[in-house]
Amino acid sequence: MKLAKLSLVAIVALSVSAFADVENVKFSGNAKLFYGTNDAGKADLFDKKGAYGQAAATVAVSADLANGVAGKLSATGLSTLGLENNLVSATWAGFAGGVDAQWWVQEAWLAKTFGNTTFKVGRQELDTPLAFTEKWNIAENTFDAAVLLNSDLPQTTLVAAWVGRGNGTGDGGVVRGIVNGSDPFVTYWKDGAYAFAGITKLIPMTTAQVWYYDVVNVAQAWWLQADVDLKDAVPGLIAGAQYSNIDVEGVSDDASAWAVKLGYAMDAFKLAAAYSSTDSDGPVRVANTATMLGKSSQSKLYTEAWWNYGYVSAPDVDSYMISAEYDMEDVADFYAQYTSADAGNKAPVKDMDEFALTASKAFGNLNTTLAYIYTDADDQNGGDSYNTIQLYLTYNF
Amino acid sequence: MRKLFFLFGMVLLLFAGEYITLDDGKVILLKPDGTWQEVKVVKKGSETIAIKPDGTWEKIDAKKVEAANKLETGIDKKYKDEPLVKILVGKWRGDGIYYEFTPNHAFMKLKDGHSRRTIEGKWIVEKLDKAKKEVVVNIGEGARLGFLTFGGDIRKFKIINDHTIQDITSQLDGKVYTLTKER
Repeated sequence: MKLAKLSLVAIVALSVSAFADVENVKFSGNAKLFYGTNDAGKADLFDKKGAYGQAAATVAVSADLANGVAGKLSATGLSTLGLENNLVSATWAGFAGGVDAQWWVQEAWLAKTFGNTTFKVGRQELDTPLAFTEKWNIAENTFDAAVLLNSDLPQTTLVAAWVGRGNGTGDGGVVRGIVNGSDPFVTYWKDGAYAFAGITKLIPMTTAQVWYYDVVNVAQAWWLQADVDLKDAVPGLIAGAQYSNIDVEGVSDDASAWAVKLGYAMDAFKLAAAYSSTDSDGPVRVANTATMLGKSSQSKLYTEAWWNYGYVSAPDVDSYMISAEYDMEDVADFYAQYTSADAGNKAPVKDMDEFALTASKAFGNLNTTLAYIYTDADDQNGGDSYNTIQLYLTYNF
Repeated sequence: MRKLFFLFGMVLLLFAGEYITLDDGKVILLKPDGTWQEVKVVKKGSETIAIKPDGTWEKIDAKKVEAANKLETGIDKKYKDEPLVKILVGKWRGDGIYYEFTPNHAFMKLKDGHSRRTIEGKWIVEKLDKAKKEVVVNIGEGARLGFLTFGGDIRKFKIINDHTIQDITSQLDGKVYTLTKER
C-alpha cells in the first residue's frame, strides 16, 4: 500500500513540476472532532457505552496550472485521541481499523480541459446518483476513477466515467478501516464499473438527468431525475421526480424506486416535502453502490432520512419526508426533518420514524453543529424509541 | 508645579478622544498610560457619548472616533475595482451555500454532509477572465509565498448578471451552485 501511496504522490508531484506555468498552489485542510451519544438499550445519554467519538484531519494541496490543467492531493488521518478510555465505546468511521490511528491518500487527481471537454483521472470524489462520496461521516469514501465531461451541446453535460476501485464499505463506517497497513482501496465490486450520463437544461426551467450504470458482472442500473424550478408560477417553488431501476445479474426481479418532491424557498427559509415508494420484489436497496447497497448505505432518494439510512431505499417500503430550514442571521442555522418509512411484508426492514433537529453556528473558520435525533424503529432497540445527541466540530484552515 | 499640572493637562487633552473603531465594530479608547479599554459609544441627541466600563462617561467629538487603518497590499486590491468583481460584493444564497462579500472581507458557508464548511477572512482576486465572465477568488488565506498560498479556500465564480452568479469551483465534480443576491 505504501508503494501505491507513493506512486500517487509521485504522479501528482511529477505532473505539477512538468507544468512550469503555475497559477496558484494552495495548501489547506481541516480538523474534525465528532461525538455522538444515545440512550438505546441500558445506556443513558452521555454514558460511555452508548457514545461514539473520533477525530480526523485532512491536509490538501491543490494546484491550478496553465493550459487548463488542475490537480489535487490530499491525505486523511483518523484517530480516537484516546477517547475510548473514558468517554466513548465506538468510532464513527473505519471500523475495521479499531482504535488504531489510520491514514490514507484521500484524493490524488489531475484534470485537463480541452475546449469544452475535461478529463479527470486519479483518486477522487464522485457525486452521481448511485455511486457517490458519502459526506455525512467524519471520513469520506473516494474512488480510483477516470471521468470525462463534455459540454459541447448547448446547456448539456455528457458524462462518461470508469471506476476501478473504491474504499467505501457497507458496515456503516463509510470507509474501509486499515488493518496493519492494509490498502483500504479494493476493486469496485467484481470488475469495476462504468457510468454514462446526460444532464441537460434544454427543457425550460428544468434540469433533467439520465444515468446508466454497468457494475461489471454484477448489475446494470438506470437513474432518471427531473428537477423543475417553478419560480414563474410561484417564486421559490421547486418540484422534482426520480425513478431508478437496478437489474441484478442472475436475479429475476429488479429493484426499483420512484420519488417526488415539492419544495419552497424564500431567502433564508426553506420547506420541502417528498414521497417515495420502492418495488416490493427488489433484491437490493436503491442506494449508494459505493457503500455496497448495505443497510447503512445512503440514498439520493428525496425522502432519505437524516440519520437512519437503509430504510427508505429498501425494497417494499413507502416513505415520506418533510423538512424545514431557516438560517437565522447572527444566531444559527436551524434544520428540522421528519421521516417516516412504512415497511411491507417483503421488506428487509421494519417501520421507522425519525425526527432530527440541528443547529449550526460558525465561529470564524470553526463550524459547530449540534444535532438531536429521535428514532422509533421496530427493528432497533427492541422496538423502543431512543434519543441521540451528536456534536460536529470542524475547523477549516 | 504649575508647569507640571499644565503639562499633565496637555497630555490628557492630547489623548482625550483617541477612540478607534475596530474591524468588528467595537470601539476602544487608547489611554495615556499605554493601555486601552473597550467603550460603548452612544448618541444622545446631537451629542456623542463614550460610556466607560468604570462607570464614567464623557462627551466626545464624533469625528475623533476613527476607523482602524487597514493594512492593504497591492495583491489585496488587485481587480477589486473591476465591475465584474464589484458585482460580488453583497450577500449571495444558493442551495446549501451562502456568501457574504464586503470590499475587504468575505464569509463562505457551504453545506458539507451533516456539517458546514465555513471560511472567513480577507479575499483576494486571483484571476479575472472578462471574456468568460469568470472570477477566481482566494478567501481567508493565512499566508502567501509567490504562487503558494496557505489556508483558506479558492472559489471560482461565473457572473451571470447583477443578481445571479454561479459557483463553479466543483464543476469538475459535476457540481455547480447557482446563487442569487439577497436584497
